Amino acid sequence: MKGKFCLKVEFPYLLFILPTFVAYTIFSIYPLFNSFLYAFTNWNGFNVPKFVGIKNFRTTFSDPVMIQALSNTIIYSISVPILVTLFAIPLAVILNSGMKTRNLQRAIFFFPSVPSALIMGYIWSYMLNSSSTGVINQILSFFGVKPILWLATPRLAMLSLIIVSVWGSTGWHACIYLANIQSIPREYYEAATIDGATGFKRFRYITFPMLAPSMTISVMLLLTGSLKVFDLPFSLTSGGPGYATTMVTQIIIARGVTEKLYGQATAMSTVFFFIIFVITALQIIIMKKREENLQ
Amino acid sequence: MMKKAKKLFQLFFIFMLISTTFMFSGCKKNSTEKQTITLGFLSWYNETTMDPVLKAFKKKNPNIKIDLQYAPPIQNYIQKFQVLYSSNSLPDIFVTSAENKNDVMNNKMAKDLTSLPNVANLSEANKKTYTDDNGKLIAFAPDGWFAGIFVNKTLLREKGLNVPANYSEYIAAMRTLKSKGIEPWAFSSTNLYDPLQGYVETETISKDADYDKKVDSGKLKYKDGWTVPIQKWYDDYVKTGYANKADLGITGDQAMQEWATGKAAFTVGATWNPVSVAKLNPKLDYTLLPWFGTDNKTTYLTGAAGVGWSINSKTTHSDEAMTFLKYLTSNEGIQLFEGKANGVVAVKGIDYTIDAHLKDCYPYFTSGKIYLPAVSWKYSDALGDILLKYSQNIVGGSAKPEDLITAMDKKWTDLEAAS
Repeated sequence: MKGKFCLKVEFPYLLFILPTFVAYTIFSIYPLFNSFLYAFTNWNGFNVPKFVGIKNFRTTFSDPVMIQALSNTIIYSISVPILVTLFAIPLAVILNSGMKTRNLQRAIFFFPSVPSALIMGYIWSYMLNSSSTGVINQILSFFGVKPILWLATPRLAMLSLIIVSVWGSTGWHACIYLANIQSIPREYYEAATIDGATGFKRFRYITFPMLAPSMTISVMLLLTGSLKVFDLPFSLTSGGPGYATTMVTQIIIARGVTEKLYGQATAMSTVFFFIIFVITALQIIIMKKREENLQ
Repeated sequence: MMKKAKKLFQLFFIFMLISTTFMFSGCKKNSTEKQTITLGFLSWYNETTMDPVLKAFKKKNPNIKIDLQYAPPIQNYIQKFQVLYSSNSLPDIFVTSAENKNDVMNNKMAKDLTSLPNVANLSEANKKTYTDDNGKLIAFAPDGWFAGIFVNKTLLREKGLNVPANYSEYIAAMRTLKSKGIEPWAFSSTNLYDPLQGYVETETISKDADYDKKVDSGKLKYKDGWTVPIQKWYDDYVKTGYANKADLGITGDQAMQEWATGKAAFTVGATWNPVSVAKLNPKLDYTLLPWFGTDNKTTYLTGAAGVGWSINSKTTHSDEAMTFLKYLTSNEGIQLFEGKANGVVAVKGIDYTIDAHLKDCYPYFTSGKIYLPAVSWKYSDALGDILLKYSQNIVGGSAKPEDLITAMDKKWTDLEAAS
C-alpha cells in the first residue's frame, strides 16, 4: 500500500491544507491569471477593458526606456551575485576561525542586512552626496581626493548602487556559507593537514567543493533578488541620473501606476516573469550538476 | 429516564433561545431618536491633521459619523482611490488632486459643489483648477502653494549686489556671483527643471493661458510652446554651469541646506520651506522672488491649488455629505484644518497671516498668477517623469534640449493612442 494514494487515508490531511489552498488560489493564483489576461487589453483602471491582441507585448520590446531598464537590470543582476559570492565565502572562512572576537565580528558583518533596503538607500544617498559636504567625500578630502560625483554620473551611480547592495548582502550570505562550513567533517581537514596540504589547498580541495549546495541556494537568492530589485535603486538614486539606474520593476510600476497603462505593465510583468523563470531554472540546473560533479 | 429528561430540557432551552431572538428582533428604536449616518471619507491627510475639524463637526452634528480612511499622498492615495473606484466602493467624500482630477471629471465621479456658500470667496485659480468643461466645480480646495526663487539677501549684500528686480539684473547678479567664486545656485537632482518651468510660464503661458488646453485637444504640440523656454533654460543655467553634473547627486534637503548655510545665493523655494529654513539658519535674511520673463516685465510663480474635497456622485447620503462639506469649507472648518495642514489659504475672509519671507509673492497667488504643468497637463505624471529624467540627462550631457520636447510629444501621442 506504500506509495499508492489512498483518499480515505489522505483525506484528513487534504482537509487541513484546504483553507490555505483556497486562500492562496483566491489571493494569488486567480489575480495572477487575471493580470495575465489584462496584458491583452487596454485597461487603464477606469475604462472597460478592450482586447488589443499582442500590442502590449510588442510595445514592451520597442520601448527604449524598457530596453535600457532591462540592460541596467542585467548588469546589476550579474555584478551583485558575483561580487557577493566572492566576498561572502572568504568572510565565512574568516568568521569560522578560532578568534576570540568571532561572535562580535559575526554580529558586525551581519548588521548591514538588518535594516530595510529602503532605509539603507536613504542613508547611503546622504553619505554619497556628490558635493564636498558628503560624508564619503569629506573623508576622501583628508587624503587630498577631490569630491567624487558618486550618484551624479551614470556609471558611478550604477557602481554606487552595486557597492551598497554588495555591502548590505555580503554578511547575510556569509552566514549561509558559515553554516555550511560548520557542517564539513573535521576529519577531512585533519587528513589533509597530515598529508601536508597548505591552508589554500585545504580551502580549494575541501572547503570550496563542500560549499556547492549553499552556493546554489545563495546564488539563486541573489539572482532572483537582483532581477526583481526595486527598493534600493528607488531610495538611493530614484533610477537616475536620467534612466541610468532605472530597473525593470520601476518601469513596470511607472507604466502601470503612474501612467495607468495596466495592460502594458502586466505585459511587461509577464515577459519579465518568464525571463526570471528561465534564468533561475538554468542557474539551478547548472549549479546542481556542478554540485554532483564536485561531490 | 435521565437521558430523556436531559434531551427534553435541551430542546426547551433551544426553543427559548430562538423565541427570545425573534422577540427582540421585532423591537424598533424609539422613533424620536435620530439614526446615525456614517459617511466614508478617503483622505490624504492623516488623522492628526483632520482631527480638530472632525471633532468640531461631530459636536455640531452628532448624528453624522465620519469614517476616515487615510492613504498617504501621492501614489499610495491614487492607487487606493483607483482600487476603490474599480470595486465600486469609493467613499462618500474623497480628496481630488491634480493627479486624479481628470479621471474624476471624465468619469463624472463627483457632485457639483458650486452651491457651497464659500465658493464665492474661493480664489479664481482654485476654482478654475477643479471646474470641469461643463462649469461644474468638482472639488473645493481651500488652500494652495507657490514656489519661486529663494534669494539669500545677506550673501548678495556682502558681494555688493541688490536683490534683482528683473531678468537683466538677475542674469547679471548670477554672473557677478560666479566671478567672485560664489555658486549662484543650489540645485538638487529633482528641481533642475524648475527654472525651465519658469520660462514656460513667462514666455508661453503669459501670452496664451489656454496653451495646455490646445495641446490636449491636439491643436498644438509641446514643440510649439517649449522650444524657446528650453533653449533659454539651457543657455542661462546649463551652459553657464549654474546647473551642473554635481547637482545630479544632491537631494532637495541637501540643496536647501547648502543654500541656507550660505554656500549659494539662489535655490528653488516653496511655501512649505520656511519652517525647515528657520531650523537650518534662523538668522537667514531671505525672500522669495518670482521667475523673471526675458522682456524684463513679465513675472510668474510656479504654484497650484491644493487638493480639494469632493462628494461621490453615487453617494446614498447626499444631504449628510453636503452638510459635512458645508462645514469643512466654512470659515471655521478651514481655520481648524489649516491650523494643522499649514497650506496657503485661498479663501477670502479667513484670518490668515502669510510667512514674512513669502508675503511679497502672495499677491501672485491670490490673483491666480501661478502655473504648474502637472495641474494643466492631461498626462501629468507621465510627462512629469519625462521632464525630470530628460532634464537630468541634459545637465549630465547625454541629451540635447530638443530631445526633451521630442520625448514629451512622443509620450503624449502614445498615451493618447492608448486611451
